[in-house]
Formats: sequence, C-alpha cells, structure tokens
Amino acid sequence: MSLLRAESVWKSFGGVQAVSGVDFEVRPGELACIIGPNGAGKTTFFNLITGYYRPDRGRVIFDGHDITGLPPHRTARVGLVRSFQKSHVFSEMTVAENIRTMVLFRKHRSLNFLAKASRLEREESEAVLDMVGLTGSTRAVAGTLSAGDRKRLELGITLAAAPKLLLLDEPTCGMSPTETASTIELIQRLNQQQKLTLLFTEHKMDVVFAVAERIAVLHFGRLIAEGKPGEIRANEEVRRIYLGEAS
Amino acid sequence: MARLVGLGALVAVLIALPAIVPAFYVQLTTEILVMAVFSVATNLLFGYAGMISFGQAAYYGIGAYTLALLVMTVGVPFAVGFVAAPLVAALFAAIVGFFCVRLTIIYFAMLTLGFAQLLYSIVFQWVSVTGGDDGLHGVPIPDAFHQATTYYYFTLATTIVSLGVMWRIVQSPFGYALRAIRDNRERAEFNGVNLRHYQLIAFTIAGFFCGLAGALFVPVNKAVFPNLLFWSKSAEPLFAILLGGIRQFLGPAVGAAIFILLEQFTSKFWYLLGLKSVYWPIVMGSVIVILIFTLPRGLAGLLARVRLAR
Repeated sequence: MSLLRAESVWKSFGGVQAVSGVDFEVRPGELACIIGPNGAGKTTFFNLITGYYRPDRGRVIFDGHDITGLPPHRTARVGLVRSFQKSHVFSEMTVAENIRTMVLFRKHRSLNFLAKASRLEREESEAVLDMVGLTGSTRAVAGTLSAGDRKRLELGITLAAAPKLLLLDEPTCGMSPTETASTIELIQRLNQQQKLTLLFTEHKMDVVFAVAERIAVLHFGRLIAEGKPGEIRANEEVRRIYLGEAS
Repeated sequence: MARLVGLGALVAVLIALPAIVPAFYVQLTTEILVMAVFSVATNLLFGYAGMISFGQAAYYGIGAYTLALLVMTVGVPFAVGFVAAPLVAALFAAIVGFFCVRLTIIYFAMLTLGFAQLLYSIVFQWVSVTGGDDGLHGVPIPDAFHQATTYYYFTLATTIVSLGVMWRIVQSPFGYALRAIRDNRERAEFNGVNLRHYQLIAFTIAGFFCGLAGALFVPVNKAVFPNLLFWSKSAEPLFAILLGGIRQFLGPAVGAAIFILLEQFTSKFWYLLGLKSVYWPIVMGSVIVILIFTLPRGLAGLLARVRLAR
C-alpha cells in the first residue's frame, strides 16, 4: 500500500532528459528524502507529481486517484501539497493573514464575500502559527521576514492546507544552523506527532541522514538507489557519483 | 478609531456641502463621487487582485447605455433601468472575463482592452439602436433628479453604500483570497485555489460596480455617448488609482477628486491665459507625471505613511 506512486515517469525539455523512467513510492506515515547532485532532477520530479509539468510518459497515483497531469490546484485538493525551493509566500499580507487565508480556503469558506475574515478561524490559524514558531511575528508583513522565517511561513501555508502528503523542496535552504536545527525538529515532530507523511529534497547530508527513514538517490534523471540511510551510505555507486563529490 | 472619526467628518462635510458651496460645485462633487465608485471598483482588480484591466470603461458605458436604452426605448421606469444597469454590466463582465482570466499580466490587460474596444465599436456603429456617434440625448430622468442637490444626495447615498459593500468584500475571506493570488499565484494554486474562478468572480464584481457608476453618470449629463466606452475612459480610473494610492481602499476615491479638480481648473486656467482649450490636457498630463514621480504611492499612500511615522 502506497500513498504516492510514480510509475515510470519521464520528462524531457528539448533534448535534455530531465527525468528518465523514475519508479518511486511513498508509504503512509513515512519520512522520505530524495537526494542527488544539482540538476539531478529532484525539483523536476516534484513538479511532475504536483502537476506543475505533465509527464511525457508514466503515471502518478496518489491515494488511489490517478493524478497524472492534473493541474496543481487539483492535486493540492486531493491532499498533495508542496513547498518551493525559493520561498513562496503572500508577500504583502501579514503573517497571520497568510495563514488565515489558506485555512479559510481549505474550509471552503473563501467564497464568503461579506464576513470579516480577521474574525474567522482564529484558533486553527493560531495553531498553525504556533506549530511553525511564528506566533511572535503575526503582524509582520511577510515580505519583510528573514529568509528563514519566510521558509517557515511557507511551511505554515502548506500545513494550512491539511496535506496528506507534504513535499518539501529543500526546507532548510538559506537557513542558519540554528534555524536548520529547529526546522528539522519541526519536520520530525510533524511526522511523529501529527502522523504526517513527508517527502523532501535536501542538500545538507547531515540533515538527510539524521531524519530520513528512507532515501532515494537521483542522478541525471535516473533513480540509482533507494533504501534505508545505512544502505545508501554503503552503496558503492552512490558513494562514487554522489557522496564522493560532496566530501 | 481615528480613522472612523475622519470618515465621519468627511461624510458630514459631504452632507453639508450643498449648504456651503454654489450649485456648480455640488454638480462637480457629484461627478467626483461617480468617478470614485468607478475607480474603487477598478482598484478591486488592480490593487487587490493584481489584475490590470485596460477596459473597465466598457462596463461603465454598458451601465450607462443599459439605463438610457431601457428608459428611452423600452420605456421601463427609471428605477428599473437603474437596477438593471449594473446587472447587465456584470453579465458582460462575466462573459468577457471568462476569456480574459485565461491570460495573465500584460496579456490579460491587452485582452480586456481588446474586448472594450470591440464593445465601443459596436455602440459606435449600431446607429439605429445606440444613436452611434451622437449618442442618446434627453434621457428621461425622475423630476426630482433635475435638481442638482437632490441628485447629489442620491449619488452620495449610492456611493456610500457601494463603497461600503466593496470594503466588506476586500475584508472578507474572498478578498483575502484575491490578495493571496495577487501576491503569489503559484503558492495559492499549489494550495488548491482555482485562480481563474476567483479572478472571474472579481472581474464580474468590478464590472457590476463600474456599471453602477455608469448608470449614476446618466442623470449628470442626461445623455450617453460612445466615448463612455472608449479606451481613454478606461485610463481615467487608472490615473485616479495612481494619483490617490493603490494600497489604500479610499485612495482611488481621493485620486478621483484630484483628477476631476485638475481637469476643471487646468482647463479654466488655460482658458484665462488665452490659450486654445484643446491643449489643456498637456497641463493635466504634466501634473499627473509630476505627482506620480513625487508620490509613487499616491496621496492617500503619503497620508498613511505620515500617520505611521507619527
């Protein structure tokens, strides 16, 4: 039983094969990670499963639905929500408004034209802000936040959508070591306490091996290895083409 | 709180206005109020939804023509025509918007302009119905509205209600969703928001209020003419938005006042200098350029910053 299953997914841009026949699945409740050197196809793979691009070939099955090529707003609606490598937040709105807007939307209340939004869904919005540790800056305009806080805010926005599977594209990118540590702690907490299934990409190897239960390695668009952290560490090919380069 | 007091004072001044100033200025204020509704409605798209429409005059003009045609040709009571006008404008906006929201940014803007010019040329050419270039004159209006002060109060009341409703909309969950789409389309979309639905609804609402403004304008001139739909008319609320301030709800209303007063006084001043009146837009244009460079967030934006700084 898998929550997400990519079946032999292909994508090329012009003459470049970005993703070549990747088979990959995410099981309910796990905390999985995709690694690979720059240009390995990690982000493209995310884009293929969330509907940003349509695969040239192959299928994507999520929670029993065939979501291949569905537009992003449909994939999000079935519970597949992602963050971006470069933080995407609602930059001219306050932190609280960022979260509240998306909580209201998920509760199907966004087609309410006359209620005062700032009075609705306070508790749930505050719970999300609390989870990502932004209760101290609810009135700050999102565009003025530090890079690390913007990342956390985007994480909060994705959580406001109540995902079944959360895809995080380099969640600690641009963060200081302290921020990185607290983000890792948050990811683990979401996985263990909220039973949220997570799939993330990451460049920092210490992060990957510290938290991931299962690791998949992409290289030139191919899935070259997959397994527990110990197995990946021991894998000859991975050591040669990936870890070797990194160290 | 200070904001409520200021607003109350403004409304009090507007109510007392006919007792203070000559009739000419009462009519001028009526025009400002009409343009305020037109501009704030356009800013629902521009400022709140991030959709720059170059074709809002189409819905303004459709509102005006709907009222004029229903009253003159069909013979319905004025009140019925007045209620129908914004609804017909909203219907047209929904149809045009259906196509336009498929495009973004400048392509969206160009398509709104294209549709508006299309509607303009239909009004211009369909002489048997619309009177073509001459427009329709002598639109019958209720007797009471012949009196400038009475019509001023009617316009003031309609303006307050319209702006009140639009204010509620921007503070509502729907308004929040529009701002989210404006700020980051992708983030909204990847949280499940169907951007086109929301933008189409916004476009239709804006069309409704632009049509209402157009209908409000009819008794001012007792006539309608194709220029109400022309592209230069679509530019006027955009000027008002830039002059008044895009990020303040009432900014475009302030801008509308600046625009109409500038138009009045530059043309008069020019005339007093003994220059041909056709050249006065040069003055108007220069003033707008200077204001936009010196007050990039508009006059209301400047006031907001002064308040924050204190």
